[in-house]
Amino acid sequence: MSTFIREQFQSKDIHLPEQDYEILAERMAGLAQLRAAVEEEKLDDFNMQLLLIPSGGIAK
Amino acid sequence: MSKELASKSIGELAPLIASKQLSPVELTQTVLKQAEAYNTEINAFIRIDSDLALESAKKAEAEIMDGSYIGPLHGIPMALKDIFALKGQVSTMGSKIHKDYVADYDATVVANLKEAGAIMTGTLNMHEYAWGGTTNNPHFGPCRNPWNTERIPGGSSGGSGAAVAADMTIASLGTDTAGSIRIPAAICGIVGLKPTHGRVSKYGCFPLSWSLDHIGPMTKTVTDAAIVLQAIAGYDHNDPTTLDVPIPAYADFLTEDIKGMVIGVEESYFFHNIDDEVAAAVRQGIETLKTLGAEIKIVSIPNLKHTMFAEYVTVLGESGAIHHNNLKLRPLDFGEDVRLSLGLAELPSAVDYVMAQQLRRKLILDFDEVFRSIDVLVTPTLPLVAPEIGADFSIVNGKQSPVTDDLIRLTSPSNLAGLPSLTVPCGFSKGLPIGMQLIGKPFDDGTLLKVGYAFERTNDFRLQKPKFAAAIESN
Repeated sequence: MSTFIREQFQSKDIHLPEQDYEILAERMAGLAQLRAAVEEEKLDDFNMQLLLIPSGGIAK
Repeated sequence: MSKELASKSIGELAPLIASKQLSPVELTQTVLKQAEAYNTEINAFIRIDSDLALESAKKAEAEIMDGSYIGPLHGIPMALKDIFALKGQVSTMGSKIHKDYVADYDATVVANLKEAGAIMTGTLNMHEYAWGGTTNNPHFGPCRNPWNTERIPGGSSGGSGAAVAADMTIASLGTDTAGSIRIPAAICGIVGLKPTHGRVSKYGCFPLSWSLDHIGPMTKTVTDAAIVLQAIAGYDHNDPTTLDVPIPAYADFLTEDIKGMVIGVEESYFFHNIDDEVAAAVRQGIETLKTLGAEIKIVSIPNLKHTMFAEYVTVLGESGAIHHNNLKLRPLDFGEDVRLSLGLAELPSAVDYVMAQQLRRKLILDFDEVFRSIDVLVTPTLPLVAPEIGADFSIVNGKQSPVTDDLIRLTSPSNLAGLPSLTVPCGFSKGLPIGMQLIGKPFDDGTLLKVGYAFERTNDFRLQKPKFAAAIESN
């Protein structure tokens, strides 16, 4: 995970202090735990109600 | 008399000003004196604008003496979170990067308040860029909770919560992306209202997360929240997220009659792992509403379980886009916690973001269904009382969590769904305030005010004051 994170930042030319990378790896692991529960969810991709695409322009 | 004046609400002060029994200049001087005296201890203000405030107060006084009283905010001193554009004045957003930022216009809410006659007394401390719930600000120092100065005032609008609670301002505005109005309001023992998304313009407010951000009142009473909301509500062509929905007279909702209203209670998410004393106080509050004639109905909202994923991914994605360039160009100018959050923001995928939005829609549909059979949902605002300053973790009933998770887990569903939410004081635990959250239907902010007002009239929590002030005055 830590290598992936470093590569992500290098590709974006973002340079953070060295100690940040380990903390970010821990936090990404926390986010991955949350995502795991979401991935068990059946998100119905045919359900147009789940999309937030403007239709007919922006809110007035 | 002076100290008493500063402790009064808008609802109490406005009739005195309207009838010329109270001078706005005297009131402003009193509030400024209180702000200056307490700020060393509380650090609620980033800047106190005494000269400008007194100039405005004199103008208001002249208008009122001339018979041109314009309404309940005329001559009322207010200090705002330091996140709004103020024409010709610095707005820091609690940051080093924007420490010298001067706008050439007023944010719409600021313009609205000025038009209503409010006196601006200064800018209030906040979590840097509103990205956090503690107001432990590395650039301006930590803001402290007036009820216990070793504890956080909550955040991100912590200065607003602390200043209202300590009578350093009569009322304030906060912003709320995951609970940043309601968290400090609950933790500091005041009233906080996050209006429906689209009810109040965000033009001129520095964004944290466009689709989750809201602006709302932080006040001493529910009546005051209604007065402030009345002044700031409305469509604004400068903010395409506002909606052109009729604005009711919010004062008309301030009756004690809630007979026959249906109050929803959801147990599996909103009462899961709540501090025992906090849960007991909120359940007592629900019993009180029942005593007032409301019917209690147990409801289920299945998609609440994905709240934290949807909230974090959305706020990370949107705030990451806002701050991307500065993270690249000057990462060390952010405080460490915000830099880490913005670093984390660079990592989730586009798929994560889209899934988060789908989960939001599912949650909105759940709420739509539930609100067909209830008028208001009642929950704890927070699962705990104010944590200690500097604590990274909080413990609720023996379970340890990152403090931010505990701070936002009960407030963020309303941000995801854009629903109006009000917190009102409902008790104390270990000398620290507890808040009860009321969540309502879209654009039914008035019903929340009605239930909140009815509840407020049954107790004297709002009349209890932090003891730190007496300690300062005795020195």
